Amino acid sequence: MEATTELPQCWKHVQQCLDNGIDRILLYGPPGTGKTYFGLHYGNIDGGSHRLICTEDMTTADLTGMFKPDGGSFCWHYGAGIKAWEGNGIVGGRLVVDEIDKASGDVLGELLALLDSPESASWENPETGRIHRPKAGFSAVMTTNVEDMNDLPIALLDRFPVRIRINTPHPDALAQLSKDLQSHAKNSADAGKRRISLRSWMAFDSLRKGIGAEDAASIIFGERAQSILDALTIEAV
Amino acid sequence: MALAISTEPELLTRDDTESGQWSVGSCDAKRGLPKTNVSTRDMVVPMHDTPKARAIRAHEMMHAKLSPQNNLMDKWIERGIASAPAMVAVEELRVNILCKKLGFDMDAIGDDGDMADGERLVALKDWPALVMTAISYAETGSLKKFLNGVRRHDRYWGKILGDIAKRAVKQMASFNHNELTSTAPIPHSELTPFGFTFTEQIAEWVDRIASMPAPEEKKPEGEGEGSGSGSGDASADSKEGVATHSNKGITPHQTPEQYEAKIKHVKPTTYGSYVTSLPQWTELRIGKTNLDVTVHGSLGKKKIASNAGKNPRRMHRILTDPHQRIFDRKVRGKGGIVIIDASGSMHLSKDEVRAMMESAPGCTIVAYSDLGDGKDNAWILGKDGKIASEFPRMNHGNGVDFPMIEWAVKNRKKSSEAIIWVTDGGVCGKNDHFHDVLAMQCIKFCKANKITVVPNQETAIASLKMMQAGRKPETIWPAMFKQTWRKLMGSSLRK
Repeated sequence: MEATTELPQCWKHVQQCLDNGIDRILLYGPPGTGKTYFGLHYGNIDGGSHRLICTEDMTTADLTGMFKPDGGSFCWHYGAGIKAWEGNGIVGGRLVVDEIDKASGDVLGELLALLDSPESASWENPETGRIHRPKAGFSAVMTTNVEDMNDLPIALLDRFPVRIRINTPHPDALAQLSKDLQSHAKNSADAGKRRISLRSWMAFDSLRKGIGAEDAASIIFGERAQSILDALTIEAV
Repeated sequence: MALAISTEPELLTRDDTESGQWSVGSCDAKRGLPKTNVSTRDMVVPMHDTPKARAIRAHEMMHAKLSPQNNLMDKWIERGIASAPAMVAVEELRVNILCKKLGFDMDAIGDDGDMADGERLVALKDWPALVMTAISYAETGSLKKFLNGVRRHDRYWGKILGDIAKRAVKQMASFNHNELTSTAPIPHSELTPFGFTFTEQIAEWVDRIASMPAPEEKKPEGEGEGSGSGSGDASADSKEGVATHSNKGITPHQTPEQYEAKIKHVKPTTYGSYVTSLPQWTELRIGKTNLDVTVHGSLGKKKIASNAGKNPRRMHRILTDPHQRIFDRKVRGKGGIVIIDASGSMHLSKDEVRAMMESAPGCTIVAYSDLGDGKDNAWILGKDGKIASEFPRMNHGNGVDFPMIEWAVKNRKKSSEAIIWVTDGGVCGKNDHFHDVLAMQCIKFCKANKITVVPNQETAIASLKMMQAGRKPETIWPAMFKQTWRKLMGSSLRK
């Protein structure tokens, strides 16, 4: 999918980085702005894109792979990290790691190894002994909702010199909303305590078509329904 | 306790500024506490779940949506078309009208404090404040209570104020809705938003009404007992307060009917629908001239008798004057500033300009004409007894009539220093079009600052001669100023 309207500044920066050979980008900022979606679908992803969502319980198996039962025996299944390294066999793919701040120490250690410079990065398959290296074209996009970059490990930050705060939803994501809600979704994405995610707006948009705006707002926005509806009325003046 | 309700200013968009995160605080639902600052994105509103709090929230949200950014408000005030209090009052009106139009219950706003405001302002006989308050309360429940307070002491003032508020509402509602709510910047101007031009138009009208003499008491038999208080004190206040309407501005010969008829003729101006027609002045740029010719004498300079000196020139006074002032003493002239409208419509030749300059020895003489090329548009042709022999290129547009007279007032040495403005009244702004609102701005300024206005070279020289003779020259309003005044005020423009 390509951007249909002029990109907001933050997205323009991301696009410029991708267009100019930057293959490690850290996107941070409020949730629901399309950071992951962008990582999975934009730029050169001929080698495919592979997504991981970090949790405290996640293990390195999700990154590199694991043995899984297969017809009475066990065989090796690659994790998202190695799949992204290998890409389509010709060029490397894209590794998209969400909620990077929630990764455990083990995962983070493995991740650092995977994201090392192509000259240093390598991994040995425990089953075959084959040495894997990232293929040319491998790229990585990390996302986090953490606002203060000091909360992330220095080694990880060192691997991501390009760190861009995304404060507004991508125009392509906004385009999926009804026109009258697009500006609201854009403005409320980075409204601090009064933030309303793009997902909430999409749910409201869908629901109001069936049960009317008042009931839809009540279900989606709860206590804020009245003030949000009042704001929508005033905006339409 | 009612549930706390927030407000969502982040959802609002404007064409003149970026959206962003707001700081929202809470307050009681009392007049004076809620506020909105569009520049710093600060809002304080009541967060109670009551109809009144909701109406106040809608009001403040509408300010956030439409009103000028606070840091740009100064630019509107600097224009000098309307006063700051009038613009604030009319902006309240614009916001209230639009909120009501959207279905918000603006009648929920209003409490007994509004009634007390009415009573207090009548007691102070502060007619301008009463007008401003009535305008700002219009289309809310506050107006009814405020007028009740006014009527308790003066039924007639209450009626007049109600009529003024109604007229303001009608006028504001008559504007094109899309333009009234536009937040687009105004082309060829630093001003924004466009919708505020309508506020300024009505505010200029409100200023004129507020500056008129206060209406005279209408006191039919049996009235003045208070219209609702029923208390003996109130009726006593009423009788006492109303009966002593000897406040400033009241013209004793004017009947209430005459006043009502007069005020109905005071009409608002309109800027037109097109953004490019916003009346505004060009920036004043004063150029240099070579003041190479010395003119002897000084306007208003004269010799008077003194009891000390060298040569006794008034010997006859030794017998006739008890103080025996037989000597002469020179008294410095008060000087003056002569402003010459050197635009094409004045058809002034160089000789005519020179004649005026020679008739004004010792005066500061300035001429102006704007070519619209961004270069100098005013020149000092005479100062401190010297005048220029060569004149710059003039006889083009006006552009800076008001900035020029404003400059003269700012630069007069003493408030008593005379200013004579030679103009045909065809004052034009940036786009070189005459506009009533610009002409009215000049008229009001001349009246307020005692500027003598004369329409041509002959009357200017006659006025300067009067000054030389120690007499005060009189204003002879140009025909175009008279027309503007009649059109907007419904009366003759007097000296």
